[in-house]
Order: sequence, then structure tokens, then C-alpha cells
Amino acid sequence: MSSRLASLIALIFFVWLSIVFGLFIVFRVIFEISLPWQNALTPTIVSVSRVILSAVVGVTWLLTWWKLANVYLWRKLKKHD
Amino acid sequence: MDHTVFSGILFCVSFLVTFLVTPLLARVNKKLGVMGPDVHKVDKPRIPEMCGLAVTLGLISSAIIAMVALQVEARPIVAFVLCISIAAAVGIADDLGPLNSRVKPALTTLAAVPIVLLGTYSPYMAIPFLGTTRLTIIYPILVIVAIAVLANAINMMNPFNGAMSGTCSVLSLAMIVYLLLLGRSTEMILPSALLGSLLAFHWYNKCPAKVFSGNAGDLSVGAAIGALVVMGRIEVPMLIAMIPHITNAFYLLSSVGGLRERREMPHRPTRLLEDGRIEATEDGKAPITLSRLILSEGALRESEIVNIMIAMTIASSLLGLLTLLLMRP
Repeated sequence: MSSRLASLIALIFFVWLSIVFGLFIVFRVIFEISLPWQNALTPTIVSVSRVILSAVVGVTWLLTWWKLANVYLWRKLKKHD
Repeated sequence: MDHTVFSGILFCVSFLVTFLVTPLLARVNKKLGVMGPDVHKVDKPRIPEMCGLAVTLGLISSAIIAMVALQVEARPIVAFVLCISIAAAVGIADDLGPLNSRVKPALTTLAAVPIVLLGTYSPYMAIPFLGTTRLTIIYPILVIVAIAVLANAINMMNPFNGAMSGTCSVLSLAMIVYLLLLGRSTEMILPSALLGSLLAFHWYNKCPAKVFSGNAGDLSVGAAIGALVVMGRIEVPMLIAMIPHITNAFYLLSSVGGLRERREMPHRPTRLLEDGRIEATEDGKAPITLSRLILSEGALRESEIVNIMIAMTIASSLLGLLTLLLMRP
């Protein structure tokens, strides 16, 4: 029972870490992006790039959680058999 | 009166109201035939449904007492009462005649309307690594989405006796601790009432359940948590505290490919054994849920599964606390 709880809490800890790390990537890396040149289109390009890259981080989060849950479930079920 | 002391008084009031109203509601629903089978018991006893409305009533009575006794601004309390009442009404409609799986979440968004229309939110949101940011246009949309998502996520996390009341009691306590640390004693009043109501309800709902919360109770409690998160401005720590609920909803929705009602899923994630324990199925088409992950290491009794769910919520609430401490300047 306690080992089962420990691995489930580890799963939660991973999700938490991924949220914190993802927020760090979004706000400290992606939001700091700038282009070395300046023209009329630069602000638009920067804003669109930030949104797209942030969305990529979001989708990566979700896919990672999904993959992790799948791997966890089927490994444990097979092991239990 | 000191708001921290008043929070304690309201905790007792809501506990008492819910503790007294729940058996009365159970009797009325039994007479009206509003009953449902306890599918995780071998003999499948029929249990009164929709008794989670006792929590809603406990909260409404506490909110009214807070408004009268403390003479605090009425707007947030009116918004809160309307929010949980609308969510409860959607739940009653679903309990009495099942709503379409897409209509229910859509109707739940209505619960957020009083919060937005009465302006009982602050568009300044604290985000890790960014600090406090102003989200004037996006925030009201986030409020609507958040309340609908949280209400439905809590509804999805209630497959077992005492799961909703147990895990949401932990979440209410976490909210109180976060608000206490932030020195927001006025915002602590309603979470204290919620904790009182939920603990009283848990007394009847814990395994073996004498009453069921029903969609009415689940959606109402979920909307209450969503509204209190918004009004208390503790969005990020509570998002972390609710990781078990949110990931459960995410796994379920993504494995069945969108919004589906339980009755629309022929492949079940768990099955009941003859000895009363529950085990995870090995059906590749069955949805992935938190309970299936818990049971993947072997069969357990219903009360043991709920204890694990509560322990996971305690762990995520502690991570929410850590996040709050990391976010403080």
C-alpha cells in the first residue's frame, strides 16, 4: 500500500515539476525572446512566436502527462499479472 | 469581530446545518424515489441520491449569516450564493433526467456568470516567474472556463463513497492555509464554511455510504471551490493542489476522445470482485482514470482507494503550499 502511494505521489510530483519548469520556460525564456533587427513587423513576429512557442510547451505538457499515465498503467498491470 | 474567529464560528454553523439537513434530505429523497445503486458493493444497495444539496444549504446559510453579522460587502457573498445555486440547479437537472454530455459542461459555465457580472474578481493574477500581471480582458474568460472545468473535474472524481467529500475537505483546508499565510482573513470565511459542510457530509458519505452527493452536490461543491479560488486570488497554488482532480479529468477525456457520460462508455476502467474488492480492467478500450491507475498494482477495497485519493490530494496541497511560498517576494 505504501509503495503504491509513493509511486502515485511521485507521479503528482512529476506533474508539479513539469508545471513549474514549463512556466519557467514560458515566462523566463519564451517571453524574453527578441529579434536582433527592428522594423514594422518585428513586434508582431515576436508576439506570434511567443504565443506559438508557449502553445508548444502546453501541448508538450499534456502529451507528456498522457504518455506517462499510459506507461505507468500498462507497466503496473503487466507486472501485476 | 475578528474574521479568523468568525471563520471558526461559521465552520461550526455550516457543519451543524449540513449534519442535520443531510439525514432529512435522505429521508425525503427516499420517499420521492430519488435513489441510485451503490455499484461498488456486492449486494448493490439503493442509496438516496442528491444529498450533496445539504452542503449547498450549509454554505448558503453560512454565507447569509456572514453577510448579516459581519456587515461585509454583500456583492461577493451574493455572487457566491448565486454561483453555487446555479451549479446545484444544473446538477439537479442532470440527476433527475440525465443531461447531454456536452450540455452539462456548457450549462455549468452559467455558474460563473454572477462572479463575472458582479465583478467579484481581481484581474491581477500572481504567476510564478512572472509576478503579478494584469489580465483585464482574459481574466473574466478564465473565470468562466475555470469554474466550469473545476466543477466538472470534481464531478468526475466521485466514483467511490466519500471520494468527493474527502478530497474536497482537503482542498478546503488547503485554501484556508494559503489564505492564512497570505493574511487574507476576510476571504477565509467562506472556505471555512465549506470545510465544515464537507466534513459533516463526509460523516454520511464515507464508505459504506448512507447518502450519495449526486451531480447536484458535486457540481455545487466544484463551483464553490472555483469561486473561492477566484475571490481569494489563489489560482496557481490551488491549480497545483487540484492536480489529482485535473489529471483525472484530463486522462478520462483524452482516453475516451472528448466529453462522454458514464453511461456512454461501454468499456469500464474497473470491476467489482466477488470478495467486494475492486480491480483495474485490462481492457485496452477502457478509459484511463485515477482510480484505474491506483488499482493497477492490484485490487483494493473501496475505502482503501478513497484513502489513497485523499493522501494524493494532501500531497498535491503540500506542493501547492510550496509553490505559494516560492511565489512570495
